[in-house]
Amino acid sequence: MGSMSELRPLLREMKAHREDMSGDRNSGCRTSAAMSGSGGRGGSGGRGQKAGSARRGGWEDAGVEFYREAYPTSVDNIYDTRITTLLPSKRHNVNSLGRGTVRRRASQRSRRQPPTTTATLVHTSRRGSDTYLEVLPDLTQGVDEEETWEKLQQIRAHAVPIEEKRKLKQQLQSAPTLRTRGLAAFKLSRRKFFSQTKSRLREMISKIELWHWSLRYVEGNFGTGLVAFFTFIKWLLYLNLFTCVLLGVFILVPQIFLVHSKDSCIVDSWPNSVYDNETFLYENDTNCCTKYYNEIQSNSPKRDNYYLIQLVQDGVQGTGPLELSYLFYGYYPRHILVLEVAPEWKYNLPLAYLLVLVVTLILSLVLMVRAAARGLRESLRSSEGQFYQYCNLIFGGWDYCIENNKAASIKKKAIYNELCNHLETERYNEEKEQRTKKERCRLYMVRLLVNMVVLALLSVSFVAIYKSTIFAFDHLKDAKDSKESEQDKLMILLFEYLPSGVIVTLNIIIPYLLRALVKLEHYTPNSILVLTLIRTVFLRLASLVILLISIYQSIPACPDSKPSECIDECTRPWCWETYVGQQLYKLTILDLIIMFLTTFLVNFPLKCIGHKLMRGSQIGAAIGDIEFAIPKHVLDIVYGQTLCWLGMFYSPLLPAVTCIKLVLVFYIKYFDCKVNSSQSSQLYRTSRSNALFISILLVSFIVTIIPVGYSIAEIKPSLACGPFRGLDTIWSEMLAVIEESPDWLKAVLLFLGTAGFAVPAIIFLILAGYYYYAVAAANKHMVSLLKNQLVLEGHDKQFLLSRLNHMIKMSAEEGGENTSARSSRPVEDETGHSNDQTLEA
Amino acid sequence: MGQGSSQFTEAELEEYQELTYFTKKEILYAHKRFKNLALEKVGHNRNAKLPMDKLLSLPELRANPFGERMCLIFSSTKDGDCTFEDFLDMMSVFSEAAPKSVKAEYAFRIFDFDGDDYLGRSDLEETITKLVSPQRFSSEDMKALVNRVLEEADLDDDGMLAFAEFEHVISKSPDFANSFRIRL
Repeated sequence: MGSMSELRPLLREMKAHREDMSGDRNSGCRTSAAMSGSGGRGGSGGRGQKAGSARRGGWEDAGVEFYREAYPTSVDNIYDTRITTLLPSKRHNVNSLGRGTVRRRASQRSRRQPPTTTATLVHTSRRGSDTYLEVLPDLTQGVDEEETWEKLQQIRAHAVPIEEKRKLKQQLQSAPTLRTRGLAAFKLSRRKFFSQTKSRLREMISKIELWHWSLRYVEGNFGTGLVAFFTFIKWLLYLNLFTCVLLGVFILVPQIFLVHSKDSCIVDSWPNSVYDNETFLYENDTNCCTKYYNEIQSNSPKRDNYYLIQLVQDGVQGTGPLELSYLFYGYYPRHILVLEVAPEWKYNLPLAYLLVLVVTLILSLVLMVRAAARGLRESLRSSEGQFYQYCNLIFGGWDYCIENNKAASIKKKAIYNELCNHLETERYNEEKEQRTKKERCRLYMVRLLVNMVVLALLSVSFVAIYKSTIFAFDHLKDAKDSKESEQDKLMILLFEYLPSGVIVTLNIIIPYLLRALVKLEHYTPNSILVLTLIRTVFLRLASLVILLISIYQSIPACPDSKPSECIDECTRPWCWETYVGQQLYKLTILDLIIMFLTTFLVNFPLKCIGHKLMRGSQIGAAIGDIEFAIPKHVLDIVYGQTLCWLGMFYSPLLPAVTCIKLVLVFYIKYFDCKVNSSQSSQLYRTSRSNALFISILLVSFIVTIIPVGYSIAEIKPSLACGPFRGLDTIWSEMLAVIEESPDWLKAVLLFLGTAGFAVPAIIFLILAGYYYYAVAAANKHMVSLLKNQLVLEGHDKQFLLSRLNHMIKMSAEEGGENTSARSSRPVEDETGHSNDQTLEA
Repeated sequence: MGQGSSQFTEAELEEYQELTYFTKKEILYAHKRFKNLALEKVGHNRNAKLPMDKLLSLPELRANPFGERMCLIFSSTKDGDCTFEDFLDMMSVFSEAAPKSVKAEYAFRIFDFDGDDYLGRSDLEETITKLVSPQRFSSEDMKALVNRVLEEADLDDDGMLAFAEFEHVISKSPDFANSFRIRL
């Protein structure tokens, strides 16, 4: 009874203290912390994010100050820790692991399970010698097999040594169980089967895992940041393999196994009956065009003395025999294929060509978005915790996979630097606040200037690409027509390589300039990285797009009426699609060659010179230490992939070429990182870089889609070649198929294209987007509210504890002082005891 | 890799597979690595107990600033000496398949140097010191760092991190699952 009366003033005091606190800090603070949601926002809304963190800091300061001042007893109280450990929240801190997983799974797997069964799983504190878990199912309620099985599956998730796990397992297995019957038994056996298959599958996959040892080596010596880069290459390889399989199955294989009728090209004597049939005439003309084109290509003069050179050149450029191969668009016929034994089975190759390419592009988009979403979720989670940067570094900073002492010491140094950086950044931010107006003005002027220069640089390079492409295109036309002299041949060679040469040179030079320029701008290191990356990506992608646009521009316009005249009027290139395909193929090959050259002929000698010849000297170190700068290498890879996507339509085997290229690139980069490079002193966070890789890839994909889509929808395909020759646009193939489809399907498809569908769809999408935005905002708000509430509760708890300790101490002293007043002792004892009990409850 | 199977029966492998996150092949490989630490000893008795310094000759542990802590935590006798099963346990926790929650639990124990179930100031300081070991922070910087960590993670404001708080932070750290991993 006495205890209650003791406690009551305590509670009152606590209440007063809370009021006190809200009075101390401004009232807005209090509202934001605990009371109404909107009030809290309003109180500090104007200051935004910064104010938020300041507010939080304010709370803590306030809290600490307050307690230290008002209750000095709590600091040095010997009872403090003992009582704290009695708190229920502290006693079962291990529980969260076991229980959490169990409950989650139970709710996932079988809804019908009564929730009480999960509660039987109790962890005791692991501090005692009896580190032991009670996973045994509650026998009083009767346990079925399924539950036991589930528990068995979860044993491995418990944080105890194997010995204990084994005991647990035996206990579980020996416990009497109810046999499941009927449907439940079937479900159970199915689940068992699935989990078994899964583990077996995992085993199989681990056997065929690509590059396991190389990755392991990289991880052991360079940490997880670099491994992320190499797994990115691997992921792209899989993506391209998948594309290859689709293309192979739906485009290549049918052409091998199915047959088609011969093209008919009647030049002189048409039967009278068909003179009026315009479609026939048109088709005849296009067929003639094709025939002529094929003849010219296959009869191109062979020069025996330069045979090897010619071969190499053809291999790099995709000319000569390669031009009329499955590699390029021009070789694919416009035919409906049939199986020889069963002619009624028709296979519309052009349609398949179009559909497969569209589908592969969409599928790659889906795969990428999935990967990006995963990355985004992770990076959002980490960015939401701007607060957690220190914890991240300290608790998650070490790569446990590092096995090389040198790498370990570099890693340690990197973490040290990063921590210093963080501390410094804070100081820098403070400094930034104090920057004078004049200084700020100057900085902004400089940044503006630099941005202008960057823009100028980029536009100059774009103009250069555009001009050179058109120039080369025109001259190629003339040069090939003129009779061949030695000089002309050289000129042709020069023009062939002009566009790709310009692009490659610009890609090498401009990034250096950009990197030099960005230093003038005085950004934080992180934003420097991002800024340079964005600018370089822009350069690379835009240069490709410009290349395509300039080719599109110079496509000769054939007179629509009489295709047969194309032979005379629209001379070269016969087949612009193949030409585009060749350009991209050439760029792909050149990219590979340049990567090879920089690795083996630039970086490797530099490293050798720097580390062997001039060992120890400053210059040697300066020459030989080449950092493996991940962003640059990622750009290389993404660029290659962009080439592949751009060229896929014009050269269906380009994904296969890219696959081979990626395998080679993996080894080139592996060599570069293993032999040439020293470990980067910068810390690359895996999650962040993963998200970065994928988002760059996504951007480049979207940029790719635009010119390809344009060419499918708008540009007239060439007459002389390809599966779509003679059509107005490539897409009209699709339209023709829709026209032939049954009425209802036609109606549906046509409706999808109208405004009647598009407008509601767009509105719906906007609404959905807004809804999710609102939900996210509300959740964010809730999180901050709960956080503040947690802090308040923590303060309450501390306050109570300190009061309690104070009282216990007082009573103990009292008991010590007047031993004569024995009658009061038991009461006091009881007080302490019951207090403990209240806390435990 | 298949020749190591003589030391285990199929049933034992099955059991290990059930109790860890490994496939059979990986278990055998783990044993091979364990055996290579002390060929003689483990050759006789496959579950021999290896002293801590033997274990620390494993490159991953040798380079790791927390290598000793890891041995201590996974040792079933709590003195750092590990049997194969302890080793397998360790590798299982650090494997790719182990869920984040299990990893967080062990990470907490690793960082909890004084073993009081809390990460107090001293634990944090020791963690940081080990993490950057040849370099040192001045006591002022160290204090600032510990303060920052507590500021970020100490939700209930009691000057130390309980497991719940630690787990909360870890669940928000996207890199943790990636970095708290050892490829066999």
